[in-house]
Amino acid sequence: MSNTPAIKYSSGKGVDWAALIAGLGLGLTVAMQVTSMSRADISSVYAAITSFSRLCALVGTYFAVLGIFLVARIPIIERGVGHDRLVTWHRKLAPYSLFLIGFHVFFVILGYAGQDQIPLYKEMWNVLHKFYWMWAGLGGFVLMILAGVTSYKKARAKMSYETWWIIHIYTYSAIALSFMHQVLNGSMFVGHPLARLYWTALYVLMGASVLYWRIGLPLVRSLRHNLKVDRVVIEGPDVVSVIMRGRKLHKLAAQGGQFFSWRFLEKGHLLVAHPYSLSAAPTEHFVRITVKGLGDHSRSLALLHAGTRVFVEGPYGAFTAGRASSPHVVLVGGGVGITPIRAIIEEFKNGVQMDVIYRASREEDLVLREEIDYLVANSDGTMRVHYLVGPRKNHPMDAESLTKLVPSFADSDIYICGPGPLVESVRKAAKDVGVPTDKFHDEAFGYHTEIK
Amino acid sequence: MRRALIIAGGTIGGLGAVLTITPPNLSSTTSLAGGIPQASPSSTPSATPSASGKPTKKPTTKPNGKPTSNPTPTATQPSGKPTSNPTPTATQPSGKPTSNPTPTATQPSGGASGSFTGDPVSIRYGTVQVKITVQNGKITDAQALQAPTGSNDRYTQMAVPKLREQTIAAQSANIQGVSGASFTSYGWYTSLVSAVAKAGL
Repeated sequence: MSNTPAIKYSSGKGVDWAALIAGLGLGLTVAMQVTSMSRADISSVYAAITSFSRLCALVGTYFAVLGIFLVARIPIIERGVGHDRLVTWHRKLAPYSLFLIGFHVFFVILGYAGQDQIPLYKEMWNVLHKFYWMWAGLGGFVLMILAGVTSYKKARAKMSYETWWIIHIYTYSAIALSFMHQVLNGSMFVGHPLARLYWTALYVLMGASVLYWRIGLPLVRSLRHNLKVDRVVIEGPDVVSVIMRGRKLHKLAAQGGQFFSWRFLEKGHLLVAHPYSLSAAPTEHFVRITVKGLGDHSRSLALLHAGTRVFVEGPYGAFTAGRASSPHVVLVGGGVGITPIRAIIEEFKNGVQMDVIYRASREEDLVLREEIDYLVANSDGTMRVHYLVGPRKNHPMDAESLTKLVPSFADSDIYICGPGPLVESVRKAAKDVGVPTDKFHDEAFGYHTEIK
Repeated sequence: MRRALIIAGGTIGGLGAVLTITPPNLSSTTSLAGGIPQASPSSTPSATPSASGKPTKKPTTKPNGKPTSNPTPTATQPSGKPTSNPTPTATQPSGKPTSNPTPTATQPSGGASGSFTGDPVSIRYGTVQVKITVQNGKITDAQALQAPTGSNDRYTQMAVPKLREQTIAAQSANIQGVSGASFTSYGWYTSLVSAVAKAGL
């Protein structure tokens, strides 16, 4: 609950420590298994299979726990890595966790069945009702599979964010449910109090992080700042801005370019929180988001009532002006991705030269155009804007065309928010002209999760 | 990339540190001596014999090696068989007087004969107590007088026959145990150690 308005940027050292601790944890996890092994565990093929299955379970579960830590909104990690990258890591790590736990389920049954010399289905039943907490473990496994399947790209595209989110939240229960069967039956825990202590501590730490940073802190902040919908403004075709009023909002220490997870306490919005970037730098009493109506939720934002209470989690994201190290910045916004760009413009100090490149396929998609023109007109010449409207082939966004548009492109800090292909072509252009990766700042998440 | 190296370094460091302190006991044939704290009565003696006593024991040489040691009073037993398990016997002098009269020591030259009951060992799921039958210094049978029942009979059903086989094959407490039934195996082992000691094998 920091009341400090200043945002501190971690130097990356904190993240290095986090990486070291994560690695150490993995080492300890594997060690629990290896150190408790004996000749009996490798004396036959089936015993070896059983041992292998336990290793899969441990590493898989460790990955799952790590995955939760990645999205636990731990401030030092959020600031050092950036929320979108954390989510990407979470996404990449999670499938391994699921596969490893799947291997565990299969191989432990195979291994036991082999040692008992009975068919697999009988052993499955045996294992389920002869060991402790196995039904809970099975329940956890099923929930985990559900979360995995619904997060698979093709499945994810077919369902609403809301459905996906609720199923995904069950993963917490899955991880909790499977805990008891591990520590009560696992050969590396039974009779090894230190291993059990380590494992329990890991879970307690995970639970505490989630409770504190994902639930407690947001709740306290939301109540303290008393955020409510002030009005809804239609900005263009299918684009709405929601302006919210609160008290002492500067104490949130939010900056333009960052985003919050918003939950409107109104029928139809209660269950699910959505991440949207601020579309203007926050003031003491107002914050604003601008959303393009693509998903069910964003469309219904237009119908929000004034006075509706808003719960927020945040601010999140490392897409902030403080990360720039050059006196010149190039800000690229694609479509509604302009919103964090619009907000971050206000955060750059005097003397920073700004080139805003606004890419849209149609004239009417240039959301917030008037505001940007206004900012340019009042910038004393420190800011220029380039509208690139039309199909993709007219605007290649490669090194050549960008350098032509902004001669100092190669010596700039580059901020970009927009659809994936746009980000990738600009990333390549930046690489081609030799912009170091730490001067390329992209924000995929806060821009809008429903746009893919 | 650098962070990947940091993570890998941490992993290897953590794994290495733990394994340096407590390396896995893969070479020893006794897997059960790791010490399970819940097994209250004799968890301490069990930890020691595995380290010291086990490997030197050759059951076939024993019966003729010490023909006189068994009929003699129990008090001399700890000192009477230096080649067998020194540690477990030392801790169980009180258990001896009751069980020792049972063997029918009719053949002093052929080693001990009779049945010997080990100490009951309570484990997580219940109690394990082993009774061995010895003829002329050879273990001919091993039975579980007590073993976990109820919802955990899975272990008992699976493990006891195998533990019996292992015991007869090893002719000592020098058994591997049954994977997947670590508690029962551990209890069996601990009880067997005391039974073997009582038999003076």
